[in-house]
Formats: sequence, C-alpha cells, structure tokens
Amino acid sequence: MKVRSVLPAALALAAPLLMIVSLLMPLACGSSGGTSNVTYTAQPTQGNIEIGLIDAPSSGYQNILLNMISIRLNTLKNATDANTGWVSIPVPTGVGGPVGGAIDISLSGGGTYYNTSNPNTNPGTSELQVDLNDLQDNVQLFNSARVPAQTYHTIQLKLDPLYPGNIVPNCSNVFPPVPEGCVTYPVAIVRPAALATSTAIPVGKNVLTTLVVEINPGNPTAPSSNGGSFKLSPIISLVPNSASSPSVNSKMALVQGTVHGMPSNSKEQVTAESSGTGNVIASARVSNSQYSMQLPVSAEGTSYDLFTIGNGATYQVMPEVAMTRGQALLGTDFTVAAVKTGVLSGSISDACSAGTAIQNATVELLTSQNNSADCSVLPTPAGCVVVASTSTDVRGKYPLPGRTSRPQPFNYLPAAADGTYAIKISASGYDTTATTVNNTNGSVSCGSGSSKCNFALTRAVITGTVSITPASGSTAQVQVFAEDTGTNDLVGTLPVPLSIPACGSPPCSAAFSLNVPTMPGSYDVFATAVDLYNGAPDPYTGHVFSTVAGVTSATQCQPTAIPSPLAIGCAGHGSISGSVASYDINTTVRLIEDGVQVAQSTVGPAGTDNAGAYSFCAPADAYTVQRWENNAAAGPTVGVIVPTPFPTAAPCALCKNADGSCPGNCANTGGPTL
Amino acid sequence: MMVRGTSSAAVLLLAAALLIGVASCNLGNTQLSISGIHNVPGQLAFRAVGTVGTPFTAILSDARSSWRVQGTVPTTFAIVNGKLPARMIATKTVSNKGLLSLEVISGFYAASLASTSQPYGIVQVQYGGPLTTFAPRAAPDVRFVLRAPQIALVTGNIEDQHSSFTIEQRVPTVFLFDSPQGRVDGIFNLNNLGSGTMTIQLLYTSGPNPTLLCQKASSTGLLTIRYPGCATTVLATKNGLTGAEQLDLNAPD
Repeated sequence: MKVRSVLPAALALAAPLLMIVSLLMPLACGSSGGTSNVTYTAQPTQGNIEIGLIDAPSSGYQNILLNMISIRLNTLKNATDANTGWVSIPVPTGVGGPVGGAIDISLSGGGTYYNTSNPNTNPGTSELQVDLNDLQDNVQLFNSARVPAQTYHTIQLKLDPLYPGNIVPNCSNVFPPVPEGCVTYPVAIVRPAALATSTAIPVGKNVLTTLVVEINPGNPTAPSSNGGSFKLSPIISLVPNSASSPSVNSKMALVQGTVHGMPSNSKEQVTAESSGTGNVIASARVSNSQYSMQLPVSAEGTSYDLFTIGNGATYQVMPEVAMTRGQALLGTDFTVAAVKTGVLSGSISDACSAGTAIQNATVELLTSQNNSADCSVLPTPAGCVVVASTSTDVRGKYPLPGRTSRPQPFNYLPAAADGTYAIKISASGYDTTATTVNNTNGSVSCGSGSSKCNFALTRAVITGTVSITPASGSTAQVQVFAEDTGTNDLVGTLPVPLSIPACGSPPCSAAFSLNVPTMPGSYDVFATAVDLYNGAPDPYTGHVFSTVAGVTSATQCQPTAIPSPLAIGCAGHGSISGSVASYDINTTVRLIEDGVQVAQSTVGPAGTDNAGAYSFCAPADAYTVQRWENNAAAGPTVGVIVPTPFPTAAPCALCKNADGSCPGNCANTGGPTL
Repeated sequence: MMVRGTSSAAVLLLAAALLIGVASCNLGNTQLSISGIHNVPGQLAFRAVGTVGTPFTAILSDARSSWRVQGTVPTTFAIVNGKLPARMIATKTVSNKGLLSLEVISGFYAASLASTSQPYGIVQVQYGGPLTTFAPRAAPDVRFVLRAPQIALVTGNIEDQHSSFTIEQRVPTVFLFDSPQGRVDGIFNLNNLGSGTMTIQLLYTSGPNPTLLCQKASSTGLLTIRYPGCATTVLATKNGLTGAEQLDLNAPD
C-alpha cells in the first residue's frame, strides 16, 4: 500500500521534473556558440547559394593546407562567434543532398550525413583539407545549399579549431638553413577574426547566388626551430559578382536553361565535366524543368562537356562548350524523352588469374552528341563524353551503390539505338579496354551480345628487387611505380608498399612484382621511400629515387625481370625553385632523374605573386628539369644539382648517411629559367 | 515511512533525470541525442575523402596487426579493439589530379589529416605516436564490409566471446576487428537507410586458411551476422593475397 501510494506521486513528479531538467541542462551544458545549422522549416522563402574557393598564392611553399569545416553566413554586420543566427554550409559529404543544395559537388569531406531536421544525429565533424597551392587562380567549388532568402552581411570561414591546417615549406633560402624544409608543420591561426568579412550578400528567393571566397594566406611566419608551428594570418575576401542580371562571378561562367521533355518524377540533372576528362565539376538539379549553375573558368577560358542524365529519360550531351570568365550562357537548353531503361552491370577480373576479381577498376559509360563518334575505340575520340562512372567492389562487381540524390546511372541506362553507348574499363596495372553497349528496349548487352557485361583485363608483370638501409629496429616502406617511357603517365604501382625490415647486413632488400599493361610495352620504373621525419609522416622523401628507364615488358601474363636492385640511399631533403619565361595553363615542368620523370610541377598563373614559378621537393641528387606543354616536351632538359644537406650528428631525424652522420636541414636550390 | 518512501522515490527520479540531463551534455562523448541514437566514442577510424570515386590502395597498421585494403573515396576504415599507435599509407591508383585525403578520426574529431592530389600520389597519416614498423598481417583477419546507397549512420555492436564494442560510423565502412577472441558477430542498425539495400560482408581469414565469406543484405537497415553460425563461402588465396584481400569472382553471392 505504501508503495502504491508513493508511485503515483513520484510519477506525477516525473514529467515536470524531466521537463525542468531538460530545459535547464542546455544552459548548464553551455551554449554551442550560437551556431544554428541551416533551419528551413521556419523560413518562408529560400534561395540557392553556391560557394567556391580561390587563393592568392604564396611562393616558397609546396603545400598550404587548411582543414575546412564550413562557411557560415550571418545577417548581422561584423558578426562574431558570440552572435546567433549563423547559417552554416558544411563541407560536402559527397553523397545525398546534405543541405538541400541545387548543385552537387564531386567532393566528399567525410562521412557526416548532415541531417538538417535533426542535427543531433550528426556525430563528428566532416571536414575537407584544401591545398591553397592547388587552387591558385582557379576556383574550386566548395558546396551549395538552400538557405533563407535574405541579405547576409557577414561571411565566415570555419576551420578545424584544434588542427586548422599544415604547411610544407620549401627548403630555406638562408644559411644556416632553419627550419627544415619539405616536411609538415602544424599551422597556428594568428587572427581567427580575419577569417570573416562583412559585405552585403543578397540571396534572392529561388535564384542562384554565387560566393567565391578568396583566401589570402599572407606571409606565414616560420618557427625558429624544427618542430614548431607556422603562424598563419589568412584573410578572406569575396571575389565580386557582376552587377548585371543575372549576376555572374568574375572568375566563373553561368550556365542555365531548360530541360524539355522531362518525364514526371524524373530526377534529372545537368552535369558539367572538364572537357574530355570525365572529371565531374558540378551537377545541377533540374527543378521545374529549369537548372542553373556557375562553373569555374580559367583566365584563358575553359571548356566543359555538358549533359543531362536522369532515371527514365534519354541523355543529351553537349561536348566542348567553351566558356570565358563572367560569361552567361543563358538558354543552354536540353531536350530529353521518356524511355525504357535497363541495368548495366557485370564484373571485372584478371585475365592472367582466372576468377580473380579486380577491385577498384574504373568503369565508364560514354556517348557522343547524335552518335557522332565511335566511343568504343581506344584512345577515346574527341566528342565522346563520360556520362556515368563507377568502380568495382571487393568482388570485382559493378556498379557500386548510387547516391540518394543521384540515382545510380548504371541502373537506369536509357534504351537507344545500337552504337549509342560504349563502356570503358581501366585499372591500375592493366590494359584499358572498351566496347559497345547495347540497350534494346531495356535489355542490356555488351560487345558481341553477351547478356552480362563481364570483362577480363590483360596485363604483364615487371619483377625486381629494392634495397635500402632501414633504421635500426624499424621497417622501411618503399613504393614502386611504372610509367610509359619518356612520360609521366603512370600506369601501375604496387598494391601496398614493400616493407623492408632492418637486417644484419644492410642494405636490406625485398622483391617486388609490379603489374603493368601489355601496351605500349616499354616503361620507366622508379622506387621511392615513404619516410618518417622525427617519427611523423614525411610528405616528401629524403631518400633518393631509384630509377630504371625503358624496361620492355614481356608478353601477356609473363614477367620481365629488372636485373639489378633498385638501390635507395639516404640523401636528405632538398628543393628546387625556378621560373618559366613563357607559360600558360597547360605548362608544366618535369623533374627527371636518369631519364625517368619522377615529379611534375605546375606553373604559377599569370597575374599572381607566384606567376611563372615552379618548385619541387626532391631529395639531394642530380636531376634535369624540362618544360612541357600539354603532354609534349617544349624545351631542352637542363641539369640541376640538389646538394647534400650539411650533415649533423646522430640521432637522425630522417635516415643515416653512409658515413654514419645525419642529413641536416636542407637548403633551397635555385632552378634554371626554362 | 511514507514520507521517507516518497523522498526516496523522488531522489531516484531526480537522479535519473539528472543522469539523462548530464548525458545530453556530451560529456566524455556520451551524448544522448534527440532521436535516441547514442553518440558513442567512435572507433579509431581512417577516412579516405576527397574527390568522389578516386581509387586507392593502402596498408594500415596498429601496434598489433596490419591490413591491406583497397577502396574508393569516400570509404572509412575503422579499427575495432585497436591498439595504438596506428599508421596508414595510401597510394592513389589513378593518374589524375583528384584529391585523396586521409583523416584519422579519434572519437568524433579529426586528429590528423594529410592529402595528395598528385597522379599516383602517396599520402600517409599516423596517430598515437610513431609506428616505425608495421605489425604482421592480422591473424585472424576479420572484416565487416558495410555498403548502402548513401553515407548513412550505422550503429550497433561488434563482439567476440569476451568483449562487445559499440560502433558508430557512416557507410561505406570497413570494420577491421583487431585480435578477436573466438566467435565474432556484428549487430548493425542503419538509421537512415531510406530506400535501397544495406549489404554486409563478413570476411574471416584464419592464418594460412582461405578466407570465409558470409554475406547478408537487408532492405530495412537491421542486420545481425556472425561467424561461425552463418553460411560461408570459401575464397581461395591467390597470388599471395588472401580472399579478404582479393576476392574470388567464381564464388557465388
């Protein structure tokens, strides 16, 4: 009885008690800083926003890496973390439509599914490491989102508060060289407040607004000794949009239009790829038959392959659409038609090992405008567009599961006349193959009519040994690569690096077996160590490259042996910095050792502080450098010697020289003007 | 007595309420979310992110075991029952400028990041101190491979005869079970599967024996898989690679 009399009272207390606690606990727990992830339900109208990043490049660095979490907007001027009302656009997950944006970016910042209806189901932070040196003067799309249509006045870049980034500097230009170059340093942000800028950013209802955020890293301050942090004072600003209507960013081009003939309930998209590459830059969702997106354009202009794709309609492709900065390509319309679809699936195996799956093979579906090109021949002719791409899974099967916002195209192949489609399969170390795909009223077959599109890829094998002297009690990691002779077109690598433990009589060695295509049949092979520096991952090797030029592979499935070991010695870090007198976006500089191209540098774009500059982190050794345009040599090879760093005493941070000393800090080498 | 009893009950209720309240504070990574999903401390995980679809091959190791893996961006490799330090080296297997970033996720946050956009670029990360020697291949090598049409949130447990490890990751994820003792099982709940199918492959390789494969699929997002206790397919070792490292097409699903 007593218990019965207690329980009702207790239960009566429970609800209010829990309510009070639940109301009080957020206060007790502390505020999350006023950040409100995009909240749509309370907003009467919304607009589309597309965000890009661009850099004001700095010379003297191999990498300036920022760990980005989000871009935030606030309607207040000069808003800070203390203010509420932030609208956050996180890095893309790469799947689904995390923030309801109208444009999918082909980047994934991790696994966080951004659940806007219940942010509490978002464990962990998704972030993306962006190398400012890769951006240079070209916009990299960051993400898109549906946001409340209103005028914002503050834009803020949020970096990982604990690990905001890393810097890899070139070797020092002063003597004695301090700190060490070509290794990774953490970044400390000096003025986080400078990662925000205030200006009026009107986001209109149901229209596309583009923000291009320029990140100027300033002049990083080096630590006074190895192991410290680089102090970084980045400042952000906005690249202006035009005042015209529709507004276009000065580093982008606008493409918009109508997709006619869409079936009802079709998830149609218009996708833009860098012409002839199959590299997706952005995909705009078609809503009410309309689409709109802005695309990055270089100073020289950029060509895109555009196409429509959905889950129940025909494709239409527009290859090589030329764009210039600030251009508005209005009325870029497509016409599609409802059609029966079929499933394109199959498996990829190794022709030299019956039944062995090839995981991670790339499978591409190609078509051309009005069947104007035969896309089943190799090399792929101009005018062929990759309209879908997938990979094989651990059992060699394709396609992989699709994305929620973008149905797996291989499961919705539109019926079409024979010759409309081709399939192309490539995998590291194997010959690429291509053939026709037929879809007759939903029945899909490949090539000669097999019901399943299964393929066995051919290969040859190069064998050899690698020798190195690991540090006492440790294991050296060595990776081996093959590339087409005289180029840097890499075609194969080992599945995992060779692990070579310290041995009693160094150097210690290990054998390798490297798959290469049977065609063209002549390869340059090189090996490189994957080092630790002071126990931390070293982004650039301090051991010499070991190279062999012109290895001719034997016939299919047969090995060809490299007779002499690829010897990898301790050298110490080094860097080369030079410039190119005449250059454009297609100019590169190749670093060559004993006739084998081991690295490639881009050239800083015109009109920037980095204009015409090239640089390499390369271990101390003798090299040549050469200017290339597109994929052809465009100048003589010029010798350059990276000197051995002045030795220091043990313990060694990197590796031990033959005389027992350690490589000291490296000094930068001036490279020739090419 | 009655008053005392009421007081005791009230104290118990207050304690329970405070417990719930404190749990919502995300103290020690034990947040109880509104949807009832426990935000447990994540396993030590290596996320491969960047340009979607970029293929890579990698080796990752903790202080006890190492695994050879392959994948495409985005894929997460989570070590269950891992022992620090841990290190991962990945090599892009495509000759383009696509971004491959490795992120070490400890708990809920990135603890280390490294990236490459070079053709066939190499990238490595490490966590918990230097790992100068990679550990021997995992023995047994136990992997749970989860796939679904989107990066959905999966929660559940992975267990051996002695321990149960609460997991929470995003698919596609490969769980690598370090040094399991005896029988193993996994209970997985995909919280936002939506439409489509969730597939789990349990790959069990014991020493020199061939890999045994269990595979299950679900359209509801709830799956339990165990070994022994499931129908297995034998996958032969070929070219020095176990079935888990290179599977056999001839084996039926």
